[in-house]
Amino acid sequence: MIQLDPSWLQHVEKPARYMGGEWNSVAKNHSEVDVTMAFAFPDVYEVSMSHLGIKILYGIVNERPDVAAERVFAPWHDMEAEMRNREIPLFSLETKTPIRDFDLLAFTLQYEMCYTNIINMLDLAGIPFYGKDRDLSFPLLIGGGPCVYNMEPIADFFDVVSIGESEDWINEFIDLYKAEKEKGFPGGKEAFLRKAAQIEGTYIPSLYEPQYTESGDFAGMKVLAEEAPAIVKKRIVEDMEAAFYPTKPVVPYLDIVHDRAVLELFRGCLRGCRFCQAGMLYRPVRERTPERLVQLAKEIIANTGYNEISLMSLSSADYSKLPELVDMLMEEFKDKQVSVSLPSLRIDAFSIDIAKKVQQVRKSGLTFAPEAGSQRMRDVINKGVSEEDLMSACENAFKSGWNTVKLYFMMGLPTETDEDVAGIADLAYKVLDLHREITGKRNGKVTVSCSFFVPKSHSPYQWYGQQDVEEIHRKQKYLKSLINNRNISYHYHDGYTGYLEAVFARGDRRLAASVVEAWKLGCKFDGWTEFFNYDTWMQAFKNTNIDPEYYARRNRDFSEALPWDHLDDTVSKEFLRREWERAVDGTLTWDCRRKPCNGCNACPELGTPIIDYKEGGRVEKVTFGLT
Amino acid sequence: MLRKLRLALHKGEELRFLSHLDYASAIERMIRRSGIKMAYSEGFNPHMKISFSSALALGITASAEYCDMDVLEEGTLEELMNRLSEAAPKGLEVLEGRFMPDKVKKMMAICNYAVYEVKGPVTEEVDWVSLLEPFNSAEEVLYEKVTPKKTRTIDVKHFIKEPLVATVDNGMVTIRMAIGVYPEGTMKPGDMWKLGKEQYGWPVTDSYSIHREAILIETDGACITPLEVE
Repeated sequence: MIQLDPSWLQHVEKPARYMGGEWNSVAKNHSEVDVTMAFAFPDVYEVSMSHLGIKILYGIVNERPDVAAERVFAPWHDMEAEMRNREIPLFSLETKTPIRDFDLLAFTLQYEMCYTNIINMLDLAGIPFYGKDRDLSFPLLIGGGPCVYNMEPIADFFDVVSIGESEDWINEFIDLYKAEKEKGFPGGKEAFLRKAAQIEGTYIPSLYEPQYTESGDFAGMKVLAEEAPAIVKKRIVEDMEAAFYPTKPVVPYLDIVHDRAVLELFRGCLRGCRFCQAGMLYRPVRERTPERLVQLAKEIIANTGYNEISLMSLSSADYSKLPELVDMLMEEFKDKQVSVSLPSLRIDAFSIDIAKKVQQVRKSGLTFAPEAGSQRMRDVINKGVSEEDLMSACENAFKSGWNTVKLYFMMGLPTETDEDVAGIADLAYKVLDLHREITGKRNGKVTVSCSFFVPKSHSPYQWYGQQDVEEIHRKQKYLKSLINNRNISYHYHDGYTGYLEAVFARGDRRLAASVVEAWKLGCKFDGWTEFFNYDTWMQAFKNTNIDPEYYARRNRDFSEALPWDHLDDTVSKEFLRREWERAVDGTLTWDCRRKPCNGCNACPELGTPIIDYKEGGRVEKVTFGLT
Repeated sequence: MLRKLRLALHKGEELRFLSHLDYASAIERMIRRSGIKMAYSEGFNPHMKISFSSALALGITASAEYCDMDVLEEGTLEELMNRLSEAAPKGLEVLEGRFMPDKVKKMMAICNYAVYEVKGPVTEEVDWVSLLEPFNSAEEVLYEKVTPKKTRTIDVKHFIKEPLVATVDNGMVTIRMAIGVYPEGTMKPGDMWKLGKEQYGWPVTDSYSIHREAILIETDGACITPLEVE
């Protein structure tokens, strides 16, 4: 156990980040359990603690009397310096046990820009980076989360990867680990990994070897063991109603990013926005009933003491029973000073009615994501939102007392022209004019926020080469020149972060060396603008003979093998290709939730239908996959 | 029926690094978990009606910190205290309680006397009684107090109410400081430590931890706790 002396700990920023002991945190005696597991999030406490996935898995694993699950996050720069100085290894929050001493170390991979932090945490823990350099005296390194669908750039670091939703997988994996540990791991690490490969949804990177053509293009994966499936198919939780939900989440002392109770309404989104990887990865839509959700909400509030509950999903306004649920929650909590919040709104008047209900007093600000400025561009990305939708949503909002609207856009989308970029400014002006027209006042505020589009694997844009960074910077300036009103503020980031994301979002295993090199040169917390160092990253690529342009900018051929082809989210490549072609034509694809099947392949492949309680639960209809 | 419940709470090691705001929200969440019905302020952004005897800084533990709550619930003192204890996080103990008269003054306005123990390693063995003597017998000790906004010179002796006392144990010294808390300001125990080190040659380092032994109400030299107020 690591001792933290307050006499020096008080000099680091927010020492409570490293203290643990929060309400609902679980500290077990390691001598009384069979397996110890540390859940890691490679970012600072306030970010990490806001993540629902870790809350779920921490809850599931700690329900088992035979396993102790604890948490570990990236120490902030000042704490890292103290730890290195005092030779304190990375430790868990619950029992201050060195991470090196755990059986299992599971990282959640939420965004590409955290990869150097993983390396840094392994280094602080005294754990070798590459799986091949670790025997079973080190913790097994496990990966999960959305980035696993193309984790090839960091695959060599990991021993075991969970593809898809891990609720059921984690118990199966721990059962196997526990049984093998009792037997003393006959056959060593490799024999264990071969056994683990047979659990559905398990990817063991060391059992696959990438092949390259003579010119250096990825040519496919060679499977090295008969236990390893050629294609690893994702796991999902079919019955969300019966699935575990963390009703006793750890309540932090610090004011974290999302410091409130979280209620997950449903998984999946079928709107089919073509830029969106999550919309493909989490198919099909599976809802919980409002009755179950209210029950969960009551328990969470009673167990935590939170006074706010946030309704979370990929697109919460698409929950089929949202009005009923909101009424039920308001009724339940009306005398308890608990407010309900809706983080994402759909662009229509209906959503505003719901927002009005939940935000009866505080008219903070409304956020909409039209994603693109022109109708043509929105059709290309299949956003399915018209200017009229936005105007009617804003009209409703302004009539109800809101004065501030935030609009999110992306720049650098495929086929984008300057006209589409100018459309962003047009929309902002139209919204502002509408405010004046309705309220007769000049205190309306519009915030335009623009990000740089990153093409992701498993999306219809997985073949598309990202736009040139300098071209993006030119477009950013162009848009800026079109916005000359003090009531419209325009925010954008430099394009370099998006560029680096694009390298890793569709990279292959040759990038692992660049990650380690970048870390050696001092990169960490790359997702934090103030710490991101583009030049150092370029130096790291140069030192490791990697051309980042090859990964970020190259248009890939449809016939080309892709480094993530063996990691299957069940949406077929043929469907993605058809969506790409429809994008180029500007043809819309409908939301299949209440319309005929579009043939993405997820439902038949998983044997799970859409679960929609407005339609009575399981939606039985003919589904198919394009081949 | 609205009742004013005054509680003595122990802020232990586990809560040392909570800022006052974090501490207040931890108490608020504890109260919500206990299910005790509370009064809330009116307005757009209703707040639970609770207040504290002081704003304890990050890094300081306290034998007793006092909290006033406006309770809208029947039930004996013991019942309410038990419900709160069950909902209390590690490091927080509900020590004592009392229902106060309606018109009782806010503690922040009357608590004017705090006793601290500051502890840290010594760099050499010394006779602390004679080392502390010059400070303890001085009429006036000037100290330049630096805040983010301004720097001003204060007379430390105006705030240090009793002679400093040192106890040495196992290479660690603990200095007991009784400090006045006035509308015009106070002396931070950490600043007193620094002043001792820099101006009086205390053999100590920048490593120390602070514990507040008591927060009291002093009138004409006599001290009572917030629970003893009439």
